[in-house]
Amino acid sequence: MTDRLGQLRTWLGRPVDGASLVAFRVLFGSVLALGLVRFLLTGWIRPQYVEPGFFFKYPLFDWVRPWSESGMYLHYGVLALLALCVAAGAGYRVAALLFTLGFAWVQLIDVTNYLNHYYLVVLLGTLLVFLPLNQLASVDAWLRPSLRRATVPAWALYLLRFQVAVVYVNAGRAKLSADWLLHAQPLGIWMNARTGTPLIGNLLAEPWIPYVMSWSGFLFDTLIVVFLSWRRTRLFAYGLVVLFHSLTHVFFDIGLFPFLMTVGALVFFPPDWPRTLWARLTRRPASPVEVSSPPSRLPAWGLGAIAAFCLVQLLLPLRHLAYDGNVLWTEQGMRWSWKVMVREKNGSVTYQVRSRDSGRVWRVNPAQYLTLRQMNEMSGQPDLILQLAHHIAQDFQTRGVGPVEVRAEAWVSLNGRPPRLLIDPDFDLTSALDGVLPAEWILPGPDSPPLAVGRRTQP
Amino acid sequence: MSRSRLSPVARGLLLLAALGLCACPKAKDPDDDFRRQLLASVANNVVLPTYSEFSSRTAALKTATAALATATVAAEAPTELAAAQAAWGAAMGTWQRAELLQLGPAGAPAVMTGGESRRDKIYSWPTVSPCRVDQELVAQGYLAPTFFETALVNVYGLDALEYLLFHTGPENQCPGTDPLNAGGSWAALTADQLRIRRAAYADAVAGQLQRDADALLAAWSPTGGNFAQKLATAGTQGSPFGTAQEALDQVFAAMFYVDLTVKDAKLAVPAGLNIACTGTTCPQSVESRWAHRSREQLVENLQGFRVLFTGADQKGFDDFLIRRNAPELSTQILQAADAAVVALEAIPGTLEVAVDANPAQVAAAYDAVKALTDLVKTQFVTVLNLRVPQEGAADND
Repeated sequence: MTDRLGQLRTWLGRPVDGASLVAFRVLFGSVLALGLVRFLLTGWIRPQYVEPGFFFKYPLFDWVRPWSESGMYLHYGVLALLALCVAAGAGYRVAALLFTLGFAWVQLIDVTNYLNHYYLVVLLGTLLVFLPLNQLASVDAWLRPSLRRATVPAWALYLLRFQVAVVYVNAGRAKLSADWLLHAQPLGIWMNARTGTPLIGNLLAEPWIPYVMSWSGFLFDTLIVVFLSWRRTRLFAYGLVVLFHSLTHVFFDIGLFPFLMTVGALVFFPPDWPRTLWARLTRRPASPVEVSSPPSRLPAWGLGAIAAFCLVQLLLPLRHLAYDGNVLWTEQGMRWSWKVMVREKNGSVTYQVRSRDSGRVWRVNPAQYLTLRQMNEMSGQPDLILQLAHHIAQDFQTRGVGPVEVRAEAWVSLNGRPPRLLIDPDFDLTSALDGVLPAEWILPGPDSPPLAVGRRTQP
Repeated sequence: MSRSRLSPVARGLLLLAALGLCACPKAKDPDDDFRRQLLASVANNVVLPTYSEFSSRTAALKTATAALATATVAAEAPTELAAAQAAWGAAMGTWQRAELLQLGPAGAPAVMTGGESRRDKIYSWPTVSPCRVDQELVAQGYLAPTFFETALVNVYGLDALEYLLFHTGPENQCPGTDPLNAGGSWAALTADQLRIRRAAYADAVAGQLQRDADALLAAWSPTGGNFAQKLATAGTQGSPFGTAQEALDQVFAAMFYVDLTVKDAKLAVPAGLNIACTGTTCPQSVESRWAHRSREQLVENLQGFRVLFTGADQKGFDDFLIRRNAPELSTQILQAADAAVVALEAIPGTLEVAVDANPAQVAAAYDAVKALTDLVKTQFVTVLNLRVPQEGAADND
């Protein structure tokens, strides 16, 4: 066992060409910098960080608050600069660390801002802090020649490949459902709204298209890592990656996600692919890097850390299996699980607040506390409904009403089904705490099939 | 060698590109055509007729207030006052249906394409201030040629007119500390002066209202700004809407009036169901404080919703739901709208009295309106994949 672990540490510590990871560093930093500038230009600072009067908090991070409006602009501007520093390998580790902390910080401000690809940025940023990607083609190596090295330890490459693979495989696994595969929902709903897309709009109106796209998406996500890993199919697979993510970019407002994954999939190519590509472009013979330096064994603590990281990444997306019911309905185990674009959920929530002293009842529309964007995100997520219930109870106390009970009437439609109650309307939400235990106050999801795809009549 | 390695990619991409391009030469996309037909129906069968009717009603109102202003100079004119009040009620009745149409020039520019905030010039509730109207009455600000260009929306429009025509008592609505009262300028007015000024102010406001109503109609008419055409051709060249779906989203956003204004502001607050009401009930918070037609206006709002939803029984959202395989939902929404009207009409007397005298009926009306908005905010949104514009300030995944 010890021998095998030793062999594994040696194998993971062996040097491989660092060119592909350097390319990843440059592309990742550049995409992030552009994405952050785009965020600033779209004017989303105000609706996301200034207009809301209430922010949904992550457990343990309720102390995170937004800066002032100008402070948030400055924060995003600095993040863009740090991303450029990462791309250029300038003060690389410090830049990567500050970027990751700063990016995570803005994501922690409000849960309704959660996006899978923001989470991916935080994970990749965290990995970059530990990967020695400033040894080549970087400002750091230019300023400090002692840093220069053409190779990186193999574990760095495999760790990035693992992270990208986790996203794809779990995104594929999330599509393994009757709604997605048998009923082509929610793609049917989304495609019907995009029939005005230039060039291919007519095609999208065809009732069979959502089925083709659903199955294609499922097969793509599930198998693409295999095909990217196999030399003979790699180039074709990468062509599919480009096509798939181009289409998702056209059809859905998913921001950086297609670009991140298109960049991320490059790590499956041989580690010297940038040299090979450059040689082809310049029509010069490729100059393979010297990898004769003695392998440096991965330390035991390093192996432990990598194993722990991988274990968490493997188990976290599976945690929904510990809960009863459809995760798309209960949302228990939904976040950080790469369940990307698999549900269309809309809800209408009204809180009923009852004074424990007088028995008087008030009705509260969440719009009194939230922006429409926040309200839309909250209305299908039980933990957020619970969090706002607690805030409402606190607010009523502040107003001098005294102790109250807060119940929620939350009608939710999942993938076009008739709305049904998400939360037990008789349950006093002030008596529940948000946590990892199964929430008994979440009612069972619908059994009926989702909205049928396709047109019926010509009214 | 390299050609053979690249060929599967090239072949795959070419095949998929060909598949996509095969769709291009087809005629128009029937779904997008349907959306534009729906939008054309909204524009031509709902918006234009409503604004046209409102324009006529404001013309009649101006005639009535002019008669009142003339008659009041000589003596009290109860007949002319009653006629002006009736004309105001008729105009308001139409406008309450138009409240559901706060899109295009009537809408807010930050939210609606082509928004010019024309709605607030016509009716600014809940931004109203009878005290400010009293102040202008004393100062006779309404006589200034630039009054309507510089004044805030809370001193003109249907809301100010309601106060001027229906509040005939000698008191004002300003606190005792206001210079109007503390300085004695209000007390210095005789009853005759007060009556004459109210009538003159009302006539000036009615005149501006007529101009604003005509301007709004013109903004939608083919002979004016032709916003109806811009809406009906959404997603095509010349329209400010990038896609027909985007235009549909904005019509949907206008429907939110039923949720945020009808249900929450007009019903829940006076009924004491909303924490904004600090007392047991808040009858003073009803919409129509002076003309006492709050309940009627709620019914007119829901009638406006129904007309918008059905495209005035032409092509409407109900048809789109049927097309989207959700005919049951279409029926449910119409039934819920009708049930809400029935529940509102079941409230006896005026709303301000009923919130105390018949709280159960008011609460039932609230629940009936909520049943409608629950449907609109859930399955309706999902089936038609609608988004209110404010939701778009973020990416998805």
